[in-house]
Amino acid sequence: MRILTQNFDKPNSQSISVYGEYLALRKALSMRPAGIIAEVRASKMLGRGGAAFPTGIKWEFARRSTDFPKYIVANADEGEPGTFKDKAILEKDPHRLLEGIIIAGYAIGASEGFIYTRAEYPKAKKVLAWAISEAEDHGYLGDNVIAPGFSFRIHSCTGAGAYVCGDETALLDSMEGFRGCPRLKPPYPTDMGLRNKPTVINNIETLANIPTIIKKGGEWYSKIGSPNSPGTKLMSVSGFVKRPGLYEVDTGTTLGELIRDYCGGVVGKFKAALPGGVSTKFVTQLDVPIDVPSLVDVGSLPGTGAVVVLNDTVSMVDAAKNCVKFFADESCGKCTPCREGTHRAYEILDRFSHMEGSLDDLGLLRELHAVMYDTANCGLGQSALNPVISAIDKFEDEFKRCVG
Amino acid sequence: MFHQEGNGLDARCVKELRGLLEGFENKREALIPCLNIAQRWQHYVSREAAAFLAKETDTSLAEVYGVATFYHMLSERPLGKNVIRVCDCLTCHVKGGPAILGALKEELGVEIGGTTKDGKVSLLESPCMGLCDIAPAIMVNDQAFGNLTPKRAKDIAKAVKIGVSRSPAGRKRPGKSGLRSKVIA
Repeated sequence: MRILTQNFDKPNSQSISVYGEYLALRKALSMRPAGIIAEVRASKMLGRGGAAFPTGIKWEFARRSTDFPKYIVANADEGEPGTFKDKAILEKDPHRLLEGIIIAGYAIGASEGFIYTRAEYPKAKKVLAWAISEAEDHGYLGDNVIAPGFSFRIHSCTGAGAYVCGDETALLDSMEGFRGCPRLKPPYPTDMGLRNKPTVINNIETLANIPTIIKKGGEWYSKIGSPNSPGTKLMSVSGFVKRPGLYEVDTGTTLGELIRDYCGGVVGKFKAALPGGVSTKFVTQLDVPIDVPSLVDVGSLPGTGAVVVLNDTVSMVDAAKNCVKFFADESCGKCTPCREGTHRAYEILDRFSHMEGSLDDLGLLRELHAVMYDTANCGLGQSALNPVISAIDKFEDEFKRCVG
Repeated sequence: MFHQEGNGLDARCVKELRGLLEGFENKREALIPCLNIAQRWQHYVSREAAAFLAKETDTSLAEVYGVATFYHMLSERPLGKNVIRVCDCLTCHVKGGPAILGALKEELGVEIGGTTKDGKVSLLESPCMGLCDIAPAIMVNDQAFGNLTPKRAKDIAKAVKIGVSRSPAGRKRPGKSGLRSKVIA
């Protein structure tokens, strides 16, 4: 099933003449906001940004709030190493996203939306600015969208390079002109978000699914793929596969099928894969279905759908060190467990990479992981040592060979 | 011509900043877009630019520097007119990123974070830029290059060293008429 990528192969897929009329928006505007949210809840779609929170429930929280104005923020700050799905939507089918944002705005009672694109995507920003002006020309944005009574505007804004701004509250701080440090939750953004007003922050891929859900109905969508986390999922596959790239698969497809049928197989001998970017845990079996409960069952997480495939030429010590270096660089420094923990973990792994590790250090890494998982303020710190711990669990011999 | 002596703010840069600030009700929200503009014009955020923005957004200089040092696309010391960013995240790393970095260091004669003596090229390491499907990858200013070999990386660095530097206003070749792409910072 191709929902998000259906227009990707067409020439000029980024223009409104290829995308066509905003039919889903027209239908949505004839429904009551509560009815739209009921459809989205019926679709059982889980957020695609990594936390897998049910989208319909998030919208419901924001709709119930009596504080105005409300805002929609589309999170295009995809910094997770290995991920390039949101960039593809922005560059190849921005109108699907815009339509999703306008529908979300109507459903929760917002009249302003923002798209926060990371600074590393200059092309995406240009395509998006053009798409917004096209939508304005066609009367889908501005005062009185399609029919009188509903006004909506979308602003494109940008960061200046910080992975942690992918966290929804850090993103809000960044939009308000501050350092992007995740806020303490609660209050959640659906109560107090941008400018302390109720705000729904959704991933780009989540919002791009909305037009199809409205057009075909939530129940239709809920029957695609695996019943626990239905729909299709964009998978960014990179590393040692024959054809790396972006593929749309039904949830429930196994990692093995994705790598074999879509990517042409592994280059060399398969060793391990990260199923959802570097903040998830390495898996060594390929028969795991790509859906939320199955990946949690094998001790990993769905993450952002960034599959990094490693073969037997890669040293797991080196790979783990690389992952932790990234988190040590990107920690915002607000909370101590993450700020100190990522650097101490990097130092320990650096010793291993110079063949100077010790068995006690392996225990220390596990302890660090437990403390950071329990006490770090945001997802960055909680998951920073996931790849390290899973590498030690599955390839302990390699680490032991580096004991000096 | 765009790189002014004495770090003074270019009048056109000030005009662009003021134009952007005008569109914001809460000036503080304009700070990061403004810093991006200053970076584009000056190749770093100069003290003058930081002081100007502190005044315009009604905050302290320390607060502006706090923000500018947090984000890694902003720099507090002058960078070259062209910036080569080398990805060092997992996919690029295992697919030969370190060799690409080594080749670029050799060709440019600088270390990570360094700028060539003529001020034309800076070499930086960058976290993932979403180019994993064409790993190992680099970005030269706004242009991505992937599936690199050390030799090709050296060729690109050579071309950047002798090539025309882009104008901060967004036009690629100064003097040649044509559509000026609007850069939204």
